[in-house]
Amino acid sequence: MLTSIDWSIIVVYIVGCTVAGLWMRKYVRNVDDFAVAARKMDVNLGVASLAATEVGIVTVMYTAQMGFTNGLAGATTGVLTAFAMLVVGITGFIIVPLRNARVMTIPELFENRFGKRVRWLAGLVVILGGVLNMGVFLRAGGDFLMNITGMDSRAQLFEVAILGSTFPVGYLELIMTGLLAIVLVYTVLGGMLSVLITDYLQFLVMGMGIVLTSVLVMSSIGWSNLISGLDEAHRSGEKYAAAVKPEDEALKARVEAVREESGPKAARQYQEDQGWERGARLKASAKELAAQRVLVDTSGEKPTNPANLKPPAPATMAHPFNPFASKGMGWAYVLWQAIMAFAVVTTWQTTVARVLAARDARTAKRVYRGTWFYFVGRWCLPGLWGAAAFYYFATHGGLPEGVGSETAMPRYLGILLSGSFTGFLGLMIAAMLAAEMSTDSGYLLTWATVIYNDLVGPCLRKPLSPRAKLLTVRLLVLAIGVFLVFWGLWYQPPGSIWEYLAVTGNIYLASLFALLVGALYWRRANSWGAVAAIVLGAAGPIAFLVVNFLVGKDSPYRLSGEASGLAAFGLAFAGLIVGSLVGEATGLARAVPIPTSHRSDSSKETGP
Amino acid sequence: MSDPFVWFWSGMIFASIAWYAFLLFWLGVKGGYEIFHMIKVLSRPDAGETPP
Repeated sequence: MLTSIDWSIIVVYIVGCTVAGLWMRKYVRNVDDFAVAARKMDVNLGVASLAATEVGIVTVMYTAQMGFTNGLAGATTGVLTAFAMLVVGITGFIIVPLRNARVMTIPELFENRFGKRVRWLAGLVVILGGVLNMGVFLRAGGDFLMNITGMDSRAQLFEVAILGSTFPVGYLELIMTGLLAIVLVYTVLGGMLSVLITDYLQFLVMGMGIVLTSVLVMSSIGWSNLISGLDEAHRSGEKYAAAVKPEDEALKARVEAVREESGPKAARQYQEDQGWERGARLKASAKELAAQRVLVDTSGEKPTNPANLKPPAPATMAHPFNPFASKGMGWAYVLWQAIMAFAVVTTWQTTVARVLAARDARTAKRVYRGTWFYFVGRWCLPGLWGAAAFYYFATHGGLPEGVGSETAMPRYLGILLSGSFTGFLGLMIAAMLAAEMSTDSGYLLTWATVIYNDLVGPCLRKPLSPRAKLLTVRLLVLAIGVFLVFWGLWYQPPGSIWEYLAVTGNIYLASLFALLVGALYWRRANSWGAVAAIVLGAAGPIAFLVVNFLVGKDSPYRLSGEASGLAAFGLAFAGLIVGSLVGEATGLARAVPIPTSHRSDSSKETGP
Repeated sequence: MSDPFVWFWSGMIFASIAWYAFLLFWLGVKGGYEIFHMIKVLSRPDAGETPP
């Protein structure tokens, strides 16, 4: 499928990026150079770096999945994030006092106000949420590359035995390990300086691929065809849902009858058997259903992870334009995403890393103002590809075997791009490799810096020499990389990508957002409130995981993502307030006033 | 279609493509210049020292 021109584009891109990354290593003299590029980053480079880091293949995959299931309305989170970015860029909310504090990580800020223990605990939450969140990147990236090139992700080439365990290796594992190894080499040697330069190159390649692909998608389908096609698919989907509702209700009643007669185990088995029987019928009539704009998702029949095994299921289009009326979304979802958007842009360490590396607070604000609209496209354009994939397969006889909502977009792009100009597919693959590499390098560096700065550093009795510090951070980058290879490629969590990302990210976001607001803007916040915010903020997402695991897939008692997300933010803020007031009343809590240099004061903004 | 959401999303998507295309050229030139400037600063012997 790939021509020699495609291969040339990919090879030139990878070699160019590696050479540029390695070249920067000679400028690294200490941890400051390595972790925050000696705070010499300027606005335009900051915008390019932030934009490149925040668009990875995993981002493209889940935003396209939202486009496939919810049409253009699936990009609502992108619009909310862009709005939050603009507000923060104008007001300097959190980012100005954070940059003026001259810290390297967010937990470092907490030590001044709440003590070492809170810094350490916050660091632990940041690492847990952040590294686990990154765990899904490699597999999602590999799935994209396999589907766009038409390679078989389940093909096994050989096995590797390590410490008594065997790990099957296929194309996906081989390619993604190689890619991560390249990223590790330049990130370990050049740190943030290499990340900035390679992010710049990756931004250019990725931007070109995204723009050209979006134009090609729109011109191949036609904008008005896409809009009317999505609308028609939504209406047909609603009709289909209404038609099968009596069958679903009858099945529910039969399952209940079996439960009463033979117990829950038999009922679960009966339901599963009926599901497979129905799945077989759906699969047999996939073409007729596609004519009614209903697709059959068969990705669960032979998953790489047996825990994800599920029968073929219908895939219909929710309301493709109105997020408040779209299935799986609604007011609560939009509210949750709006709060999360503010938390992400002010708290997510990889985003904040650009604030901390900025020349001054004014530059940090300008980076945000320059990047805000980029976040609309970050969701809207891959969302467009996902919606176009639904339209394409609905008008071309249904989804191919083994393809579902996650993999429909790369499969569609593979078909579309290989049939267009020579080299287009190569450019798109280089663009997505760029997206993956820039995200991986930024994340590896960020989490290694947090581990050193907030977990290892505070435990040391004697500070390390600058040389030993640098070596430690480099070794930590390497260790996270090795961990990711095994966690990301051979362990697969059950559930969808978005669910995994939302839950692991929420563990961190709710706690740290409440804590940052308290630390920077509330004089009465103290160490008791800080600990309560961290613990209660993490409780919401963990409860979501535990309750949903215990009650099973179809239980009415399942917690929704938005309920647990909103609860996490509510609990974190409640913990901060109540904990601080109780701590104040007992007189035992640590309470250091907000340092003047941390306040949001525009006079602190220095620079041109 | 008269649905305001359709107009909204159409605007967002067309504007995103135009904005991405503009940023490519703008940041391509400006970002490149900043890299050269940053490297020049880092090449100085006292570059590693940051002011308090």
